Amino acid sequence: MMRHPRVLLSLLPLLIPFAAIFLGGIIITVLQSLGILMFSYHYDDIFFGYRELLADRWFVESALFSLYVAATATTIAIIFGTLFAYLIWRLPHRYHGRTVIYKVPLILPHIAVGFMAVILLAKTGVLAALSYQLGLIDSFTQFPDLLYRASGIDIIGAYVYKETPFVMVLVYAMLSRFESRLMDCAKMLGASPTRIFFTLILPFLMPAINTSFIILFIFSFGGFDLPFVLGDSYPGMISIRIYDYFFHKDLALRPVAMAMLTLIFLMSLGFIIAYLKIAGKMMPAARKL
Amino acid sequence: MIRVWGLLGLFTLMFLAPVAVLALYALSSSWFFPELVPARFDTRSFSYLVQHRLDIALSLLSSTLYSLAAVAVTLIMTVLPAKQFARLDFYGKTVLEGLFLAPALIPPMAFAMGAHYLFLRVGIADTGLGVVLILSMYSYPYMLRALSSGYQTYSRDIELCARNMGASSWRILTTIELPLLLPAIVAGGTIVFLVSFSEYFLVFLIGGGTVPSYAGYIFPLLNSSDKSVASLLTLLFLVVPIALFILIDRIVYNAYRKRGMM
Amino acid sequence: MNNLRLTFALIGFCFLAVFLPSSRGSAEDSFAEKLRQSEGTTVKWFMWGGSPTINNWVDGFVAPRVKQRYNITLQRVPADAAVFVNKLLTEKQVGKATGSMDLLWINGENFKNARENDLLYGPVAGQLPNFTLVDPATVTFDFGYPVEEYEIPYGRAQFVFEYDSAATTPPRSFAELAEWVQANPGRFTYPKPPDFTGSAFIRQAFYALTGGHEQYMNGLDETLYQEKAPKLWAYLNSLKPYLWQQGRTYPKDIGALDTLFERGEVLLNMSYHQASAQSRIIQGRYRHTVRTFVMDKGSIFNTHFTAIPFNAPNKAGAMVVANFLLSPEAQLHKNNPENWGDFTVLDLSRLDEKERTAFATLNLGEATLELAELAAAAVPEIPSGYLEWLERDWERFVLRGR
Repeated sequence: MMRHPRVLLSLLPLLIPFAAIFLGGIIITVLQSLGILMFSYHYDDIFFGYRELLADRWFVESALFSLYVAATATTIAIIFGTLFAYLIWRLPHRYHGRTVIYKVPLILPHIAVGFMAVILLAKTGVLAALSYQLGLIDSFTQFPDLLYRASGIDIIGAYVYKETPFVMVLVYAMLSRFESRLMDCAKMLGASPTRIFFTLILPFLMPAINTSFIILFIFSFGGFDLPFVLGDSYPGMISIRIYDYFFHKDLALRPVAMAMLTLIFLMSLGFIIAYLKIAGKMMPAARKL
Repeated sequence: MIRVWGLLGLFTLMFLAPVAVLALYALSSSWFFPELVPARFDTRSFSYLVQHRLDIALSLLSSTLYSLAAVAVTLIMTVLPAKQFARLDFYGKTVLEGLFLAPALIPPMAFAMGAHYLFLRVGIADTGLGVVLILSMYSYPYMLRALSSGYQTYSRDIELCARNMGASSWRILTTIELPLLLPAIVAGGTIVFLVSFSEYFLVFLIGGGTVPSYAGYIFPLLNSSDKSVASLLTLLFLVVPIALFILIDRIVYNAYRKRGMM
Repeated sequence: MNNLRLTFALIGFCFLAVFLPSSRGSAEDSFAEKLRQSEGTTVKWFMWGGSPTINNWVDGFVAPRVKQRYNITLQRVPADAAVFVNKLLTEKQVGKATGSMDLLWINGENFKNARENDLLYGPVAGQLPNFTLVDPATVTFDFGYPVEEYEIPYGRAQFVFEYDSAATTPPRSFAELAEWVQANPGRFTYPKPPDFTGSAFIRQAFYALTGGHEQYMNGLDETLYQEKAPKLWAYLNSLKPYLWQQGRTYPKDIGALDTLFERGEVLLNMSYHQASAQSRIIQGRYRHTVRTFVMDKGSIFNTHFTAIPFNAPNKAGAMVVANFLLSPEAQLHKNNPENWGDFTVLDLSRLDEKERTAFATLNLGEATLELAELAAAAVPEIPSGYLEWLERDWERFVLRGR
């Protein structure tokens, strides 16, 4: 970079706010987690926050729960998204425009999607009423508990709804660059559609799938808006624990919230690095992010 | 044909039906199990809308303005760097590129709560400026990605040619680069706008309730048991982005036609 | 030398006399001053925003009135009390002299936290002309914490249970509630504390199961708490298997429980507003057969307040609005279940004949209990230190315990 002073100069509009707000913000988070810059509070033990946090088994359970929710939701969204995008792409081209309705969840904010999940999934909600009318259940008491459960079905469902179209957009964009003659060729050689999909299409799509996986996985791992609307009990998503510590507990306990944030930050970094390693091994040439 | 309708039906059921349920709720006075459609309809939610129209309009306007401002700020932040990333190879480029994508990947809470402290110290917490900055910081990677692929779509010969004819850098930027980048700007700007417009937590944290936002306005209502009002206001969420997309689409289309590029 | 000191002292005294506002002047005088100062200003009122009924009352009744009368623009900002107290605390810590909030709706432990950190402006209530209509004895304590005129009373609420008289016969005591819950598994639950109503429910049970409220009224006593609280946890844990979702999860707030009740998923609901059932019947959200009841061991009531932050940019305006909220006109309008149904804090004997009759003839509706019955059952709130212990330990022994 030294040899290109002009490069450095033109990177400045990005570099300055990046350093000030993003790096600055993270540094403050780390410092406050160590009890530094904590207003007029004073801590004798700089690991106070971390000690409190590790003594709290709830934090670990929330972290595991968040991992589980993020992994499940993202995997399902990837499968649906890839499949749907492929199905659209297989349609005659003039029909592609009509499928635009799948983009509706992209415009809906997470808080709205959470609200919709409550309406649909409640024991006396719309799905339960539908099951009743179809004769599947005789009373709402037979309808399974879907909301606020330790299984996290409500949060997973809402994330799948919100994320599937995101995957579809990325995968479809990738597909439109696919050389369709390759497919004709494979067909002529007698390959079955399933075989074509798995041996030709899927490997070609891997970069898009990888990108969407890591983005969505970390997002749903640390996302706040959706679980906040849905409201969860025990163990609950980790972002809600942080919010509780930050806003609802004594200001003196803020290092604990900041310690949680620091750990989330480190975990996210870990995920990205692990992912780059794995994805790099799988496909050395493909662009990952 | 069956495939087309099958897929459309599936999408309608999966993606559109939940929104349609909101519309039914917005019109109902109450909805008891096991009614498939509410038995009683009334206009309670609409009278709420009319009675609170000023507040609602104010928060919608405020959300729209700070989201548009975020689009402008992210564009200014990324237009020059994107070009370097698209055109040049320099030492440390890959690392830097990866680093610059981080704000979109890392959960925003991790830097926003620290940034809140900074903003408090500098005095821009609870201000529109603070909100725009935090939203831009969270969403600029989308603009950066869009612009760098935008730069890759046309050859730099056009610029060289203009430079040889004596055009200044500013002139090249405004008359050649930006128009050619327009599709990329629209694509990146759309995402930045959507992300900013629908964000609840960051605006609540940095704006502290004093910067009106539509997400902040409807949030407490989503938690109330009056699902009718909440549904109508949620539907309203869709109106601004869709209206804006249609508008942009027309503007871009006209701009290109005028320049004879279509 | 001594002379010089004396002279300085005298000069200083004169300055004080001139520049300090005369605290001897009557409330009316300085209030006229506030009215003048607040002309054409904006007041930002931070309050919980989860009830469209209350939002309607503030935006549709209070805001236009204060605009018309005092030319004050009232802006309602929805936020949780715990959150804005925290925000205020951070502002105090960084030394932000001019904040962004003018008026707060606050009480209980949030008031205590605010006072302990010196976050409120005051004493303020005595400066308001309408405060003379309140019996000061009824507003000396807020959850056991001395108010000392740092809060302005605003409304009075009492805890009631709600049920559909066409669907079930309600229990009359907590012992009966345990039987009722076993007979109707899955049809009862309570909001997860620290939700305001859920927390009130466990306090209510705490009183009833441990021998009444009197013992807790003399400040905090940890030994007493440690001795009594296990009875409450044992009781709540014994309900657990019969609760909605087998007590594995709880509705996250009263809004969530209201929804369950409205849709018939649970058969009992609770409310910290004695007239809210009536108000919802009027709105068409509850069936006409919904009624309210209180347990025989009493029902908690509290007063809710407004307060002004230490760094409020518009203190004068905030006082004018708070004074309006305390006016007989606003209190009467608020008391009507068609508008909200929140009870008045005014001492009716201090009102004139016409106003008294207006309050007395107010139609509270069939779903609201008789005033005499409510008054007979009324018991005071617990000191907020107990409240914090109860909320903390509920999480430990009931939510996470087995």
